[in-house]
Amino acid sequence: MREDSLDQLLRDTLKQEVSQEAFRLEGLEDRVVTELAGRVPRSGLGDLLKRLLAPTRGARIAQLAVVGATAAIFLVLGAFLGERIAPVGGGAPRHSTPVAAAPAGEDEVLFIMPAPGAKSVAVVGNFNGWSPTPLSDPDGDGIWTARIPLSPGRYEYAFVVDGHWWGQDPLADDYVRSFGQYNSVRYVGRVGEGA
Amino acid sequence: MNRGFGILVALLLGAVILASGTAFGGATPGDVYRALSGLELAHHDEIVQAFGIGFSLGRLSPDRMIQLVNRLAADGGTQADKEGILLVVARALEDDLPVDLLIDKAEEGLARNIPLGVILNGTVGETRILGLVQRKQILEGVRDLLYSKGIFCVSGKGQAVATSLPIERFDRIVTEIADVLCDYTESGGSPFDGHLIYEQVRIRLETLSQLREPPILAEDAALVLERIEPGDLTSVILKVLG
Repeated sequence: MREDSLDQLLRDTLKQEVSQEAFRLEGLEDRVVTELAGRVPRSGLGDLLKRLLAPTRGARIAQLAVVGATAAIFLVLGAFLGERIAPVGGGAPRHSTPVAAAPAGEDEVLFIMPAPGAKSVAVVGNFNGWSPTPLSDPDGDGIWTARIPLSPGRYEYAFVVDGHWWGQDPLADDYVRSFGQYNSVRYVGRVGEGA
Repeated sequence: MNRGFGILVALLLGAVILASGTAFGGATPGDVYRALSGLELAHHDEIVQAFGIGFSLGRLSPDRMIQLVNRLAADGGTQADKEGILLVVARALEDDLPVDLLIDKAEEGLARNIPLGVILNGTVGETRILGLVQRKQILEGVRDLLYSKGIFCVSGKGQAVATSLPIERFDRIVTEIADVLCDYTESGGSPFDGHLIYEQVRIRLETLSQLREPPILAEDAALVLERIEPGDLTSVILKVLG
């Protein structure tokens, strides 16, 4: 999706909803995403902002709605452009777990554990002194994730699901036995993988 | 105006939290010694002295050690086993060995709630578990193997010449080979399959040497792989397993 197409789509959607006095912030992102297809005409984002910031009907509620909508638009726009311009993890699979940027020389390593119904999921390994780093499942789909910045090297780890250790991560590069159980092994910093 | 003030307060709070985090991160050797004094150790002086050597050579990190000491203090195991674990680390340092492998296994064992006696001495039988005692012996065996092959280390800021590697590089190679031998043994592999063990060592060293910012240099891996033989690795394991 090009920026100009998104620009036009956002403008049309907003214009339509404001004119119908049916503007709702709730679900805006979903409605915009649903309609993301085949819009061509190009117009400046500045015009749109001017129109949005100008009083429309004089009503205070409408003004607040427009300001809120503008913020939402920028959030949606930022998310789209951010993903397209600088994909996190050098093209790693997309997911919803927010993380701080990795320090220079480190990779953000994605840990994924499917655990529907679990109350808590964490990853322990020799990168965190075997102290739990929690995974999160913000959308409640049972897929727990965490991204952890790690320097290039070999790491042993296991997941801890509701207190039970699980050392056989399907995404691991290798497995080893340790204390009679399995640990997963991940090599970070392979040439050609994310930086 | 109010919003601006709110942002200012948030920024100030953020700065305070950041500064607090910085201040609390980073234990010192003194912190470790103070934590040790709370364990009532019979070999306190020996352990403190050995840890001092480890800190000065960079083989021991105060952050990791204080975490280990605190975990031991909180564990319900016997005083003798707690001291035994610290003594293995201390004696490895006295014997001029790297200790990362030992500390890592101790931490993992404690996190898994493995009894301290098993962490220390391992188990034999259906499932073989190597304790810290056996792991130290394997580290020693690998270090001696490298010495016997003319691969040495230089301490401090000495320059690497020919086959004398800086201590960090030498330690890393010893640690990785020893770790492979431990993994192999715990997985139930036969010590007599020397070629298989050698292959495992080759894969580990070469994989690490091919990483971005490699933890092991390709030239070090090549040097070691050229000089050691499958039978050497069998000997190291057999010495430990008897």
